[in-house]
Amino acid sequence: MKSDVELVSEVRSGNRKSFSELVNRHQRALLRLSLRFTKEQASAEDIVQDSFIKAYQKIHLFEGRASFKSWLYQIALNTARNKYREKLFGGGDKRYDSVNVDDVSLGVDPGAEVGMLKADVRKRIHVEVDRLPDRQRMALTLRIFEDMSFKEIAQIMGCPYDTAKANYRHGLLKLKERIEEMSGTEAGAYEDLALFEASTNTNLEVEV
Amino acid sequence: VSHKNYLVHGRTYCDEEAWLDYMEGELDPNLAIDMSLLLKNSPGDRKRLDRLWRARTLVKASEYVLVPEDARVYECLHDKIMSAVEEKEIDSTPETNVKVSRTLTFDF
Repeated sequence: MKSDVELVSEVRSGNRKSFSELVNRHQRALLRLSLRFTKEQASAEDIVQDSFIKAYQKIHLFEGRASFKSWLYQIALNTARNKYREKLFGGGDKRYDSVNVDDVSLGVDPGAEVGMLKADVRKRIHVEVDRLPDRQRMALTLRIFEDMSFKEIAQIMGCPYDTAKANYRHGLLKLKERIEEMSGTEAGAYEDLALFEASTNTNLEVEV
Repeated sequence: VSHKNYLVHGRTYCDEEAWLDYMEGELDPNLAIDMSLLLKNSPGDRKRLDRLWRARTLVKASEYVLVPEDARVYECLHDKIMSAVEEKEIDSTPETNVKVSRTLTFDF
């Protein structure tokens, strides 16, 4: 199977079929990323389409220092951001309409698993993620949901490594505060902690 | 839980910053081992790390993006993209390069 870099090289030589292969490889991941920002499939598909067209037209700008996927993500995030702006200036911010943020309590049913978070809790946390400043939200989304390294995040966001990490850190610390406020008292916040540790079965300690 | 600072390789870390780096696997391995030993003897630090991990876990668990599974969605999207691409040419003018590099930069 040809690598992305080889396909890009063929596209540059005028082979559109190679671009078709790049679309097949990356459209699903790009659609998932776009859905995180738009929440609507039609808008997300528009972002994917616009991003691939931009990528095709500017393919000579791809230098191969980052992966093709990272480069594509960078284009998609900028496209999504520009569409968000249009939405914000055009018809107001509709993102929070479906969630009554004052009427939701944070809590997890005994025995619930992480993958089965209560819908209201899930929505409430999503509202808080959406409220983060754009760069913090992008860094957090790429790290937590896309499992990217800070090096890749820095490439996609076009910023230094430490800046990418700082954006992620500020975002997560803000969310931690908000989650603890939602949980009520600090003591209450710990009640379900054991449940999460058990359900994720994660040992954070480094082997000594 | 009171906050404190760590001096790490000549740089002062606030405790949350250090524990967040620890959680993300971003610390130097030797330092990570030292932090692990600290964890065993410091309930306050353990709690601080647990709170960070809990927040991260909840955020991750809150994901509800539903990516279409139907292959026809992707076939249709692919065809739309490629028919648009058929009408485009690769732009290689140097003036455009400058313009594009600006639009591709996050500016806030």
